[in-house]
Amino acid sequence: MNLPPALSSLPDAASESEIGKIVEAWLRAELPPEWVRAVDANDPVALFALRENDELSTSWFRKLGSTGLSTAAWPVAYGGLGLPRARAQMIGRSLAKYGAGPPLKYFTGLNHAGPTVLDCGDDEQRARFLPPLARGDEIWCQLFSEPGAGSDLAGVATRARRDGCDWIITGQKVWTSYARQSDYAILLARSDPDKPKHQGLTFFIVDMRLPGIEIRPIKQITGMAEFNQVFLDDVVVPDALRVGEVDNGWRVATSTMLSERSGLGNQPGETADVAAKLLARVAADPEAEPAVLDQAVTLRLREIALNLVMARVAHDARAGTPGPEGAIGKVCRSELSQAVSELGVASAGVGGLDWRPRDMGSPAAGLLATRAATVAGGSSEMQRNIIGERVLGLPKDPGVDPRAPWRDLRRS
Amino acid sequence: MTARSAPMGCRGAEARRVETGPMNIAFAAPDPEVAEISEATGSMLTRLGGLEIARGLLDSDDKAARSADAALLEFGLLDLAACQDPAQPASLHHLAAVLGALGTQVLAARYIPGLVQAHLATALGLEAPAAWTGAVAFWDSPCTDLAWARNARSLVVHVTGDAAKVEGLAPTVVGDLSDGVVFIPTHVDGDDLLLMSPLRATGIAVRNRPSLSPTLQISDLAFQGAACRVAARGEAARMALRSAHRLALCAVASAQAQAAGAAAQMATTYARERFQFGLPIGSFQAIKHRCADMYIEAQLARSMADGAAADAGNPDAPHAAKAFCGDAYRVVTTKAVQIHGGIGITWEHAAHLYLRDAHATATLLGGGAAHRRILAERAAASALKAA
Repeated sequence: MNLPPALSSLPDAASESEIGKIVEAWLRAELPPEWVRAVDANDPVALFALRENDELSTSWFRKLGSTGLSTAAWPVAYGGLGLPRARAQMIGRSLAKYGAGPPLKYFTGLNHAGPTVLDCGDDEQRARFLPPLARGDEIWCQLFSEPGAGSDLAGVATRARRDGCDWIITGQKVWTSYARQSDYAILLARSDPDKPKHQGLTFFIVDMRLPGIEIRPIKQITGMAEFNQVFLDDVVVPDALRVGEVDNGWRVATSTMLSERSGLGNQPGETADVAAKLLARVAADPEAEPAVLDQAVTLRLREIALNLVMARVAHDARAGTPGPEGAIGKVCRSELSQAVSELGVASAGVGGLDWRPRDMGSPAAGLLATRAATVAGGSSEMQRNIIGERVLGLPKDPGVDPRAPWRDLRRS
Repeated sequence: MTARSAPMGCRGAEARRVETGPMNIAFAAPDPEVAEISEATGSMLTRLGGLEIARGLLDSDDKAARSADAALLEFGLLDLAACQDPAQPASLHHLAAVLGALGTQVLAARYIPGLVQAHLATALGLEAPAAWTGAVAFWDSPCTDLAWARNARSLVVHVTGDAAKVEGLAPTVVGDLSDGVVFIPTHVDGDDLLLMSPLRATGIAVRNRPSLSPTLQISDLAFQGAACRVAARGEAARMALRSAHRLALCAVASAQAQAAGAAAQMATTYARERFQFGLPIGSFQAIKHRCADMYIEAQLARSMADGAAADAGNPDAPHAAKAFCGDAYRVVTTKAVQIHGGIGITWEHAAHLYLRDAHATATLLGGGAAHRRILAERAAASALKAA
């Protein structure tokens, strides 16, 4: 990695706060001037507009990615800086402060595919895929969920059949972000339907430009179509792009999901204090009902407690990988965002009902947009199972037989 | 008085009776005629397309809705809302039954403004409208006192005899304002006035607002020297508006209660049919208990709305029903969308029609907090009187 001179002292920095200073000085010098101005003026609207400018934010990320700052915990050979986790997180916080982190279209690649290939891929796969991912040259998506396999991800029905040195893959995936823009996907498929469901899965890297792949957008209740359905019809994938052993894909997918949980529940700098904003709005309204004000304060108190507990979880987990306690953040943050959005509509009265498809920012739009939070990335029910079973050690739901062959399981 | 003078902790029969005194709704046995009306409306709406009517409106296609408008006119729904005697609170039972059926198809909000307007017109001795257009400008007010006051604050009115000139903005008026009449409660020189004007009159500009719920139409009405007529003043105006307000609150609550039941049923059916981990998701207690909670909430709401519609003359009942049913409907739709998982947040699925309707109707005529405050103030006043 050729670090620019301004960053050359980074690997030897004495402390995390020194890291922050070095990174921020570099950001101020390298970000477009209007970007720095928006940050200094604390103008989230202007900053949002800059980040939404695909050309600008992509060219920014190419510059950032080539330094390894956004993949600082990755080995130097694969486009990272080889830094310990806590120091990489410090860099992440500095980037977030300037809204300078990777654009959303790189999220799956950097947070799901990259860590998975690093953890479970072979050296050839790491050398081929990680450096372009770190540089922002390639975009990735995730082909996990299916119409019949949401919470029960290990129940996926997409079939992978061995054919000499290749695999033939057929099935239907859903909830895929950025499918159309993606160069590659990580995919979980059923390689042996006669084994118990967790034991007959294999994990692949798939070239999204291959014949047999069809992408259809899904319109959401917000009026936007951020997700897609992806249909695979006899797509030919070379065995060299299999990640991990045949029929051992669940272990690989678990590695992906561990990085997903930490990514969604505990994104440094991304946790906007929604209850604080609502409280400020309601408190400024002289006609606000006392009961509404009371509810707004109650929600804000919950938000403060959540921020504190997440800071403690992050502090405790600094050395190791994120634990199942991260599920607290996912459950509370998503449900809080919904409660805040509901009170937002209730407190604004009939005048707060203005809504158009693809609308953002209004109380009514917030109501609709927050619905996905308790479903996507592991539903609240599944998060509570994680807390109940992995944190508290309670037994699993009765009636679920993990040893039955997948073929014999009833599906809807 | 008896309760106050009784020793603390007294649980005697007399004390209990007085404890329930300030706020209560009487139970009325179900009326078979009401059930019949509800069933007839339900099957008519199914024939007309059911949820597809609201779905069409969401996708800017009002063909099915126009057919429903015509069918409901022919059904005589507007006549049901007509006021027989403004001194007596209207008999709401039959009307509430129809609105419940409309609620299950997320349609009530489309028709309530017309019904309220018809009620007000007949209460004032005017001819009832023959179409669904027109409105009354008080939809953000939890009580009629506030309705007079709010409009008075935003409008400048000059009255000469029975004629009035109006300037200013009446925001967030609910209904189809493309035609018909608008009634405006306002307050001039110490007198409550009910003004009226054809919506197509010169000096009135309608600005439609985009709405969260496809069946709830919201507009701002701008008056630029509009010539209105004083339809009523003083006690006559107050009595008519109070009666219309009561009808509106009970109508919204009935629709919310039945809609909550329909949303709960939709999600429960899904929990029975959707398999994960080799089992129907409803076999997991996390989901099963959510379904049970939705059912409980919808049952409570239904009884509250029925009770309020039947308990004529109880001034607390409309506020109680509006506060309770609005909250219940919102709670149920949050759960119902969640139980549907990913499919519940897709545009194609109907779950979000209920979610939109729940939050939109909850804000009408004041939110739950406003109505609970009114009830609390009344309870305090009656306690003061008792002391």
